[in-house]
Amino acid sequence: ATGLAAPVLIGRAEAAVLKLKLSSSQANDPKFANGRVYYDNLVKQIAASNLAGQIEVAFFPDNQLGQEIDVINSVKLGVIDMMVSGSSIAANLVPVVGTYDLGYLFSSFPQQTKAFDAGAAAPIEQALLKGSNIRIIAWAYNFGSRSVLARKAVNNPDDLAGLKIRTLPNPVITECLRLMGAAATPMAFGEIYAALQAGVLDGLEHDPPTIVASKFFETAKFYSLTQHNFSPLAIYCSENTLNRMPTATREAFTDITRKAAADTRAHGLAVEKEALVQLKDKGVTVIDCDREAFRKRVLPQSDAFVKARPEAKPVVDLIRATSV
Amino acid sequence: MSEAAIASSGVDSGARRRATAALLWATDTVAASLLAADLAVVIYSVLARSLFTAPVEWADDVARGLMVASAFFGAASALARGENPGVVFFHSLLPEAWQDAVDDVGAALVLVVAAYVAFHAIELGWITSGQTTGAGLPLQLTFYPMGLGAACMTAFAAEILLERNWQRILRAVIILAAISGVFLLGDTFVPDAMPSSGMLMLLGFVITLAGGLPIGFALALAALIFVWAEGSLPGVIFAQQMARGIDNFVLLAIPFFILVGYLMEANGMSVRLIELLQHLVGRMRGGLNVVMVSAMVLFSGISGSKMADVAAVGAVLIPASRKSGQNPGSSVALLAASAVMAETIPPCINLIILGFVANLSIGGLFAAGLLPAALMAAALIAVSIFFGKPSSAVPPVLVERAAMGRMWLGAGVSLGLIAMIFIGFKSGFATATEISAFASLYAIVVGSLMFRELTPAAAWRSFVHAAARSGLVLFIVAAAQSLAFVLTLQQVPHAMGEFMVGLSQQSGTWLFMLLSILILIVMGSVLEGAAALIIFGPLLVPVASKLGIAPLHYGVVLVIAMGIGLFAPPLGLGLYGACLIGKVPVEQTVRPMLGYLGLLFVCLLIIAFVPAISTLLPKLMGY
Ligand code: NA
Ligand code: NA
Repeated sequence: ATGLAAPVLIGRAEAAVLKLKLSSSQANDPKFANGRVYYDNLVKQIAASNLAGQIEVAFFPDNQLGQEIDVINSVKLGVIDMMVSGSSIAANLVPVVGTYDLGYLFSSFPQQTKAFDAGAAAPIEQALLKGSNIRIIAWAYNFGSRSVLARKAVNNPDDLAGLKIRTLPNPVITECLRLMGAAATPMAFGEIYAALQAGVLDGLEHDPPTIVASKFFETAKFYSLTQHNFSPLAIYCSENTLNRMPTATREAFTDITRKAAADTRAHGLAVEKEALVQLKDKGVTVIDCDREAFRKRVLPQSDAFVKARPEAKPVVDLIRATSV
Repeated sequence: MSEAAIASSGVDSGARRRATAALLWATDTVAASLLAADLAVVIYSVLARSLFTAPVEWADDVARGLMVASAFFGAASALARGENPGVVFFHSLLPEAWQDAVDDVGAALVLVVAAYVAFHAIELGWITSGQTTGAGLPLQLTFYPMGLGAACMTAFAAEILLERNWQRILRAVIILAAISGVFLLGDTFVPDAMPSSGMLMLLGFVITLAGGLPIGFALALAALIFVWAEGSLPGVIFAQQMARGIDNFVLLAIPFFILVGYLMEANGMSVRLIELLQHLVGRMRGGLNVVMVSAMVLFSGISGSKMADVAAVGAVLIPASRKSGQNPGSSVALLAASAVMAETIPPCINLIILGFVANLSIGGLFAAGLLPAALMAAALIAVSIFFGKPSSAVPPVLVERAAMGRMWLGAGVSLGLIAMIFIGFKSGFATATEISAFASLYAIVVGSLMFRELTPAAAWRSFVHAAARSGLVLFIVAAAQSLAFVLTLQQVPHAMGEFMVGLSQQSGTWLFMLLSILILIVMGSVLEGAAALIIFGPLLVPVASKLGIAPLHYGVVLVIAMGIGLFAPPLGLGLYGACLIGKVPVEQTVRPMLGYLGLLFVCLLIIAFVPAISTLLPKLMGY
């Protein structure tokens, strides 16, 4: 326990260097984990900028600072400065952010970037800032779209009927899977592997890198490219933290975080492809399923969502009008 | 366990206690009802999913919320009954006049911590109103009940403090005010000469722990000292970490398996199992001791609560060994050693907690723990036979012919529970966590239908006891998580991990293994087991995998080392618990206990350096 004393001795006095805490729920994996890849890019960008030596970012992967819902609340309060995560977690704070979780809303990540550049991000960013004091300073990609990994081949909605598919505990995604035909089963991430193995679950929906990293392919051998969800990756920053910075620093820092996010996009697309190849190598059958059939069944979800939340309408319309 | 730690003020408590008797009835009732509701939710959810393919989307969120609420009301009841464990050893070395002062300050600190948790939990509920959980339920539903439970805890803490006369209360207040005053003066006038927040936290923790402050409160207070000294962290963060420290579905197995232990005792299964063991092996050489070790093996395979097992087995077998003329001190020592052995027999709270904090498969840990436990059980049984008295010295166990069939039937049904736990999970019916709920259901149904011994009143008492006991365990888990959060903020795990990796790269992995064992024995002894795993598990397990040690193997080693610490004199709280149950002074158990611990330590070294013992079964079972 001798190691315990050393870091504890760091003084309480505020140092001249601005120290930021960046949280991610993913493992500390420099290749497959979006949080770590973003952090590495951010460190590189800071080192190359005129903020080098002025800002230091400490990285906390693996839920070290708590579960995502707590971390985002801490970002809101300014206790944790930054967080890299999908957009869905912010929907718990400001429901309209859940727009991006709607099934078959986007058709690809590049299309998403195009739509965001055309103005489909601004209303959501403003709603979150107003509702919870959190600024999304940059957007990147989750490492791959979400598709269904199952213990049997799924080609169309009939094949999916009645299968117990683990979904994110998120009402929009759960509903999407239900519309696709599955018996959507929200379950804690840590229980998935054993539940798949024992047959408590018939499958799950996730992106390829996560399936490779968590070894879910060991028990479920069919990956159907349903691609029902291209949820964006958000770089959240506490408005309190940004307000602490002098204007020049804030502008430089915002610029840097955007560059780091842009660097992360190409990596995300490459890693998705690579993970699919690895899945095939591990004996998983990758199925180019009837996406159009699934998409038709999920279509009413967006219409119902827009009806319930009219403020989402311009966002959905803009995204639907954007083609690659 | 150590009522001395908080209630040793020597003041007659009768009159004032009556004032909060109604409140205690209320916290008992609320905690037990929430636990029962939780059981119903989990069972309903599994049946809906397995039988009707209609998964219940809100089940996970509701089950966790009910557990957090039940835990804080249960912890309030436990505090009211003076059940909170604290380290009594150093406290007992103080002169008597000092002991009183230390107790008074401790009582005041318990009040401060409880009030702080209550206030900020309610504040957090208010701040998060309008937000939702994953399933879309209101988020504040987790925090308001927690705040109410903590408010009841505050009332009990106030009652315990107010039992003292006003001079003693005033003295405690002055002491605390003086300490805070010195800090504030120093921070204002000589801020550069002041110790860091981290150092203050460490100092506060060591002092309060040695002073006998209940473990959960000492852990929470340490985190709070950091929050206070740092000045920039809002109090709600502390409450948030307390809540989220236990707000996890896999931890549900803790209250449910504890409940199984109490139900098993109430419905007569415990007695039937021991009767059967006495019939089978009781008359061999060292028979009574062999019965004790095997009974602990079986009981551990059913319930998740070690202290419940020790209580059930000890209550029957320690009087029996007294009657047979054995030294009660060595019987209690064997009971305690068996509890260490049983540490890794699934279901086991500490394996669940380690799996939770270090991201390891709980099913895998359960499988990995079986052979190591078998090794230690074999060692203890061998010693029992070798040093045991010949059968003639032991009075034969009286079992009437007519009762024989009943006994076999009863034991068969009891063993059915163990089979159900294993088969239920393997069959794909439910997850390991969910099976714990069905184990409780089995104990209730079997108890009322087969044995006709479990009256509704007795079943209700089991729920009340289980809610208080798991509240106690989960409160310590929550407090340890809040401290772990504060340590993470200071990047202590990071620094310690690098230090350990560097050291081991120079000298070899064996040194890391030995250091880990040492840390867990010492910290398991100081921190009442689970807290040591919560703080050191997430810190050491990644280092171990970096050094190429199989995580499941390493996890089992950590848990056994912690178990040895928990029962090691002079600090180990487990040993004090066993002595209370066996009604033997601790001093009488020290010598035989050191012998047994030596034996278990050798077993642990074998387990640590022969990984196959732990990794074989998980490999075969596909983890
Ligand atoms: Na056990
Ligand atoms: Na047990």
